[in-house]
Amino acid sequence: MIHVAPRTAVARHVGARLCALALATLASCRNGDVPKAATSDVGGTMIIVQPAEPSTLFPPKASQVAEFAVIHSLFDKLADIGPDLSVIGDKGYRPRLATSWQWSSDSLSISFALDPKAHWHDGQPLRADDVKYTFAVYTADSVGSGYKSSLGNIDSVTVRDSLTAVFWFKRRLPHQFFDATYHMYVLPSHLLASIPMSQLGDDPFGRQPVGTGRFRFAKWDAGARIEILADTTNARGRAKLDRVVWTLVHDYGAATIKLFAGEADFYEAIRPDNLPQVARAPALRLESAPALQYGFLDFNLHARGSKSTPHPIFGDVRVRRALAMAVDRPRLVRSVLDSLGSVALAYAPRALIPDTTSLVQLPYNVAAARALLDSAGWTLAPGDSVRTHDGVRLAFEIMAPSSSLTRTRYAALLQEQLRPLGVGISVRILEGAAMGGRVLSHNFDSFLHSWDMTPGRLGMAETWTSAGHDNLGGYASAAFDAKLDSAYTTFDAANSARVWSHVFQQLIDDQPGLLLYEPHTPVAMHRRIRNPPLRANGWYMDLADWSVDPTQRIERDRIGLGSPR
Amino acid sequence: MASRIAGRLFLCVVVALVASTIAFVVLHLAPGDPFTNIDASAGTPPAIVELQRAQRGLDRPIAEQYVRWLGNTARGNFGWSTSKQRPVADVLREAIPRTLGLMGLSFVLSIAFGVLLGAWQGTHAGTRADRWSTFLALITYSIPEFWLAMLLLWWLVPLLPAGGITNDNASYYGTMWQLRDRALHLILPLLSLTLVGTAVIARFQRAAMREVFAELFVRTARAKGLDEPGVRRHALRAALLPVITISGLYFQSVFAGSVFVEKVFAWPGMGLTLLEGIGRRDYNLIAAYVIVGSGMAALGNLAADLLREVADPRLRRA
Repeated sequence: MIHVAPRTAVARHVGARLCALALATLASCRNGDVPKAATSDVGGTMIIVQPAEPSTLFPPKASQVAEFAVIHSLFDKLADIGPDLSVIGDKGYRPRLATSWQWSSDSLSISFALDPKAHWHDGQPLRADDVKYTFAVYTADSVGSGYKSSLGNIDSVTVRDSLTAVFWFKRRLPHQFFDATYHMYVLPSHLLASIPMSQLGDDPFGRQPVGTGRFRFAKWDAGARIEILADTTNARGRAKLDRVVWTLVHDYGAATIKLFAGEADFYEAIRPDNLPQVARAPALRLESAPALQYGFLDFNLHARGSKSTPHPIFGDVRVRRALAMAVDRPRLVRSVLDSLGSVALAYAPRALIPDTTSLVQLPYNVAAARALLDSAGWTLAPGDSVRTHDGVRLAFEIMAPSSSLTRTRYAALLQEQLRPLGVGISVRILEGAAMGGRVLSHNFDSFLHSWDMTPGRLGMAETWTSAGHDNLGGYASAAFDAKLDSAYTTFDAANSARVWSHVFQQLIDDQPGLLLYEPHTPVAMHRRIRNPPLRANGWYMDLADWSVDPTQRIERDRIGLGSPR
Repeated sequence: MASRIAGRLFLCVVVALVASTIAFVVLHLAPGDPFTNIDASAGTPPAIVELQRAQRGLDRPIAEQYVRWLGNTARGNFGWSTSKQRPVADVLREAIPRTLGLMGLSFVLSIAFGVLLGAWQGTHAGTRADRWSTFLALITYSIPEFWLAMLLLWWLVPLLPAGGITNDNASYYGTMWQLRDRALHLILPLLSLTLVGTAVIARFQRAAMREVFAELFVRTARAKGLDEPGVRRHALRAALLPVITISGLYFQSVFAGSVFVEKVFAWPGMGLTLLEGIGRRDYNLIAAYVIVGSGMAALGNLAADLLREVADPRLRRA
């Protein structure tokens, strides 16, 4: 029988019980003849509740967590970053498709020796040509991969022999190895090379991928589920689970009911309100999942619609600092995220800040904030509730996306916290594309933003330097640009930590955005699931090593390793 | 008759086209597009975003986009879905049968139960049973489908699957098991739509029955000695006319209600697809949904008109 976790609250509904008799007969039909149980820690089925359906499983075009969670199990990189997420050199990296690698004497090339036993899920052997082809796809303009800019320091990839691919770099940098291995999942050239590059993103391969991962693709029922199966002939050993199913449930309430009813084993989007319920559920447990994310109020430092005229309010660093000092950020975190968040310390999550102790934070001091605004000329006229300066009112709009409960709550609380300071805030909740449209056309004052960062903090060049394409608020500081450049080019780990502290301190001093929170995202999972520690760069990183406790197996764990009909 | 139906069908096409054109224009006038969600496209260089926009023709003037869309639609190809990364026609081909199956079954059951309940209430008007059933029907009628769906989900999930069309492992079991599994998964969404539908139809049927019972022909029939079941049969036929009209309108309501029911029960039909399309600003998908939805609504009205003429031949001559 399919396992159904008891739910005492439901049992109280006597009316529902009346239906039980009628339905019991039908429900009993949920039994079925299934193959014999697997032994040891190999085998089992894990069902993951997924709130959004992936658009594609073609790695160069993927951009969402929902897509990478599947892709990472189906495809491999040459090497995998270590648990400490260090990007300097190749320290801590774990071999994947490459069994070893060798740096050239001038460090401008790395040759990767591929695993001779590695093969594609269709049986074809992995070849160095696949690596070369992968680089060509990721960097082709006609493919339009979002990762092209991250590969800018790689000059070319050549094939030394059928099992050796050589990466050639333009410039010697600490993160060369990261560049070569982190962004690209190796693609099968024997299946894709005949397809024009411009059509690769639309090709059916994106819905029926063939990779080299320890799981192989099984099926994709559009709108319903995606299923992958253990690849029993994988060179690195089969995945421990027989099967992983991503079941698509868009409604949050329905998703949690599915989890509590035992129809699903894993849900990563659990909200604070449901944590006690998960803790009480005998079949479930919570596990902390680190994330590389932080949230902040992004200020537009330029006047609306302009890229050069300073914003009448946020153009003045004193105002930005005063606003930061007037916000009780620990209280906001408690109100919105409860125990599921921390105050952001810098413009990166803690896991990516080499030394948090050296950072000097702006204090929470409302009196000092008032004094700073007064000294900047923003004064409060008698009888007025909003400060003015040269006829300009200290009033602005905060935009937040309707899809984020956290950010919409933050918007309302910021409005409340800054009102006593004489700051007028209007909150506008917008659908994601509409908000994005306004931000990208620079038609905004401020918006609540959340960045997902990659290891190595490489995205900071895009988000905060004056030339960065994701620098949405228009922050420009020559000092910051220079410090960041130093940080990216410092090889020594100790020196690197020191330089990075300068980088973060510069941002804290300049306050291009009001730092708010770092979310902790616990995942809810069934107690019978065993897993290695969840990694900050994706809970799904080691999915092939997850298993089911042999003593706690339920019906779906005993299906065995077959193929779906 | 045939030419009249052909004329009405032509009108259905016009209605669908006008509705989808309005949807197309309004969607394009709204700020943003499929590539401006900064949460989704963070890290993607503007040049790449522009390239993606150009690949989908979104960099062209709206009039040109409309003409291209119109041409695609005329060929039965609704363009490319930016949210699903596949042709819209493929998305619809999978989603429409799922929605029509659920909706159609619910519609038929709502009419059947609604007519029976309403007729019974009409013939027992004023009794305690009538008052109670009318009260319960009113409550059900007042509850939005999605809310009823959540309540049913909460009450019945220990006994029934929480959502989806099938169990996530269904494909590993036998055919009979799969059929039963599908039936089990159908119960909750069907119940959500049918309970409300039954209450709606029953209300109108009850009122119509009461009106008809006051008509002279009923008194005449009784005076001539026709037995009570015979009188009710005659009265029911006369009382069906307003219900048939309401059914035509209710057809559209089921279609709209199924959007939320599909969301709650993770039923991968058109409604769920539409919500996803709206969330990701998928112009072609939304416009195609509007075409299908408005076409179905117009067809529902046509079917109701034809049924009215079958039920009352005088209308045919009018």
